[in-house]
Amino acid sequence: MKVYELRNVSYRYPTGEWALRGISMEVERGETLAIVGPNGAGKTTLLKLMDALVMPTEGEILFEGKLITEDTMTDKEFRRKVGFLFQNPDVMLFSATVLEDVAFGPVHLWGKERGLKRAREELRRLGIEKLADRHPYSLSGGEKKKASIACVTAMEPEVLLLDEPTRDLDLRNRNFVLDMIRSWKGERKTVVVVTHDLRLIRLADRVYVVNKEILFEGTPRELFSRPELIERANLDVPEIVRLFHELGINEIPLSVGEAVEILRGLLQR
Amino acid sequence: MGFLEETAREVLEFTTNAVFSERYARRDGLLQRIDPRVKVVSLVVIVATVVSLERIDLILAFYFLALALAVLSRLPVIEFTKRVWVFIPIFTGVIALPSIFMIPGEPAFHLFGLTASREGIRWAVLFTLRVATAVSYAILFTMTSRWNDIVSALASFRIPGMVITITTLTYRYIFLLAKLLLDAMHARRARLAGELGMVESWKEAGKHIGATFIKANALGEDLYYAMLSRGYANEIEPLREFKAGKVDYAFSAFTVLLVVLTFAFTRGLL
Repeated sequence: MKVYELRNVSYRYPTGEWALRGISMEVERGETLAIVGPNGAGKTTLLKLMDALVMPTEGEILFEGKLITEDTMTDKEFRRKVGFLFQNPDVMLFSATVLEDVAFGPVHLWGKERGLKRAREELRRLGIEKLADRHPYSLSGGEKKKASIACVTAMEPEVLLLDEPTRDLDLRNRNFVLDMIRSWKGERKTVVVVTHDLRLIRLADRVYVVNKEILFEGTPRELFSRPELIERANLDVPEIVRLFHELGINEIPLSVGEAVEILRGLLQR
Repeated sequence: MGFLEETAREVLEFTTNAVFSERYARRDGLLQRIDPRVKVVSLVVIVATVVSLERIDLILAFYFLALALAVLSRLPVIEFTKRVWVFIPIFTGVIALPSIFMIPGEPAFHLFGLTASREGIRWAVLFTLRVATAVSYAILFTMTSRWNDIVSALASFRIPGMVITITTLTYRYIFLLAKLLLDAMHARRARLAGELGMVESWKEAGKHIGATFIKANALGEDLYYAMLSRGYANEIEPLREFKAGKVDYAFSAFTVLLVVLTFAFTRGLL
């Protein structure tokens, strides 16, 4: 079943500059989709369009078969179903304490008592209950990211829109985010992630390369088989992929383990 | 270090150490145990009483009471006193000092051809003490209360949700923007050889302020989207609920008794 259907969507900034032109894409329920592209390619705008925060200048977006309109902006059911993790956690943490920030969405959806209970549960589930009474200003970068993830997951969304979730994080916190995405994938939640992180791209079922328009749609393996596309997407080519390109091997591995398997197979032949 | 850089650094240092750590508000002292609603009402009543007093000895008594409350609330008295008196010279200099020479009365001394009157001096001391005492109670309140408690207390007085939301957001982001400003100034300093002249320094400060406004605008837009994305519909419900206990009733009774006794004393009933 299609969760999102974008039909020829374009978006123009108030300055008159086009952010996106003629985007048509579909997102299936339960899939993990990566959107990659250079800076200023309109990726974040695309997520905002999918979260009904801004409306397309041209074209239309359907969510679960229903057209997204201005009314969707304040539709509680839509807000519960779709969670948006912003790139900058500082914009997500605006209350006096972390608990109040995590409870913000649930309280708006379900009222004070149930909302607070849900927020406490989520903080406990993510292992950050000790942050509950802290002011967001006093948190470290990793703690802010975890708290902002809790803000989204406390609403129990079925669809997660993630904008550069691993950016500016150290290894441990990056692994935390990757594990979260793996668990959502395991729960068959729909995940749309804008990223430059190769480890995240590897997790995706499909990848779109966007630079104001769609340049490519396919699997991560297909993307890494096309060096010219990787360059246009302004992505780092993984060393292991570069090695296979240099050796002229058509089969492209997405991990060291896969590379070992391919090389073993070639040697045996 | 330029004026703007120094100001941003001071603001950040003060907020990080004193406000966000909430180290005094988390201590187990007398005022920390009191319901913030009781504290708000008591503060307003005590400050109103202090500013209406004409007698220096009574104002001094209120000032020493504030010091006693600071000790009972486990606040460092020296730091508390410094916080109060750092603002006082500004008031004294701008308002109270000229009045020494402007209020007519019995001459006390002459300075640069001006005559200071005894009435003028008395008024300046009275004014300074009133301000210092009122500020002492306000600082007592803020040092012993956590920000979310203050906000929730205001909400329970039926102050419109929009006002509280704006206050909370201002409080949250003004320091973030100050940090951005300081980072930008450090980045500039890292590329600067030697010192800038005053005019150049102010020009640079203007550029920084302009850039900070642009960043604030972008941040504000994304912040609104982040709220909207989580179901915001132009209203934020305060989450904290308070329940008054014995200590709150006792403190309320103490405040009422203090005010009644003060007025009885000033009217010669005692």
